[in-house]
Amino acid sequence: MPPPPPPDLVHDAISEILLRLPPDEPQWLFRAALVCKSWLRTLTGPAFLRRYRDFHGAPPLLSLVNGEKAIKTGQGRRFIPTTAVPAFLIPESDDTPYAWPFDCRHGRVLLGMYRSACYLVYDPVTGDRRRVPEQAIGIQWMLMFRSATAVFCAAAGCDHLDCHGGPFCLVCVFTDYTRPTTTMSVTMYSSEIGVWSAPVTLDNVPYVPYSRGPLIGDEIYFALLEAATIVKYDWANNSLSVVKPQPPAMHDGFVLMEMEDHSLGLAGIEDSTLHLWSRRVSLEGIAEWVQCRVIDLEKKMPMANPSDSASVVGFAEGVDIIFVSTGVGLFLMELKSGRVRKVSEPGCFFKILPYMRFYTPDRLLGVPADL
Amino acid sequence: MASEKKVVFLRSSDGEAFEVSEEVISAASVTIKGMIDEESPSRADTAATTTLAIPNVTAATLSRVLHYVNKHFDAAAVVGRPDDYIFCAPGDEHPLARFDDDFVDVDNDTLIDLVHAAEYLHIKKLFDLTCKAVADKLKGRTIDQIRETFGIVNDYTVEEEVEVYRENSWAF
Repeated sequence: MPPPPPPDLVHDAISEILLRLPPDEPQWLFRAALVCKSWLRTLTGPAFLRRYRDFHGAPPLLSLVNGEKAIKTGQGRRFIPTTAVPAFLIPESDDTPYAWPFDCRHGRVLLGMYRSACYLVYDPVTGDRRRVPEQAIGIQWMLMFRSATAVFCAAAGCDHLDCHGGPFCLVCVFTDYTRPTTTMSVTMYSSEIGVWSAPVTLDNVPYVPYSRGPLIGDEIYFALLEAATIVKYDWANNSLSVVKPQPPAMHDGFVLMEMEDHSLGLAGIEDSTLHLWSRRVSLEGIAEWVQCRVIDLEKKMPMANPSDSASVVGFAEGVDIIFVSTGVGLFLMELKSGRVRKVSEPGCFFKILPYMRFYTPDRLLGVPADL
Repeated sequence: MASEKKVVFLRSSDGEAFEVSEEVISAASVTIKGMIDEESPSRADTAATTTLAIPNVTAATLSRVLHYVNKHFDAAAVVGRPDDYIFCAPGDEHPLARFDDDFVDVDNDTLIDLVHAAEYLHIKKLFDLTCKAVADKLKGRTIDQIRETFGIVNDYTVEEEVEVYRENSWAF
């Protein structure tokens, strides 16, 4: 007698099971779609996809972009995958050899196109490209003086779980040496209006903005080189200010991050030890930096030698992952679990941009038409 | 009597009866709580013990479900309120994590029976646990193995399959 057939799973249970496949390993959802057409219909249905995004909450990390290298040097040209995903590529055009990655956020990659004096906002999944013209001061100037530019989704009421194709904003912070006193300026571009705002300035801040800062509510943060200084741009109120109190000084600088409680945080390394700080604000409105975690990195990841200066080079919000560069390679560390994984051989990594997005079987290619 | 713990009997599809504390099973299973609530007016004045028929769940599965329920929902066995037993410091392992891992370390058919039982009995935590365990099992399998596990007939044509493989080679 043949064995009895396995118990059937009712449709509800199947979608509940598929719902629990991990978003940071998208290949399993894609494979499941090939089991049968009923599973394919489930997995590509808008109701399932909506639930999948809600269930997992934060878009997963798919790839990294090395923000410190111009595309022409090769390494930044490709994305560095952190999981199985299709090969995302920076689009080819006459000026891409001179492109400079600035930011990745809300499904978009922001490139500074040095040669053609514009920004390119690129969606590697849909292939959508938008060019943003230079602002009044000129992108060459800003690049020369070093600037930090951020991109974010500007769709009203968006939960940022599946941003694509909608309106976006760019915020550019730059140091202007052409004025009598060294001035930090910020200007914002809205794709809906199509113009850059008049710069807002802050005098006597003689430091260069760098790094990719977190966007917390209406406020976006930038760390400044050569000084333990952070500036905050409140884009809803168009105001630029220095964050008080000054954060703790870190020998090799720090990376700004958004903490689990949505406070501003920072991560830096001193003597092979990772320090995490959070900016807490009391009920009376008094802010202070509180050290919240200290992690001995030598126990977590291989260092080339004890004097090898490891540094934090990036942060992925929502998934609580930091990137650490050492003489042995580039490492990804999940702060919650403490898990560490090597994602690249050693290289020139100072600013790592995380590409985060749900990559689900609605992106499956070659699907039969008779669904 | 208020001081005595009330119990109910659950009769499986194959006729076996299991005793369980009414308070515990009510905290765990929305379905059984509903059945008990429906029964209560008629049994308020009697000392008779209620037996509830669970026609969709076999004795083997029901006994596993009750093992889980007694571990997770018995207020005497766990600290805190029955449905909110996790009182550990952040970063600590879930106190029942090891029990849960062992609980779902069973063969596919048993696991799928548990998914069904948890769904029918409406025990959310058990449903979450077992669905996650099935999802974890899916991850290690080839597409053919998944079809075999779930008794699914492949309704793709060879041409369709080849096309999807070719266009999404990164995933395979």
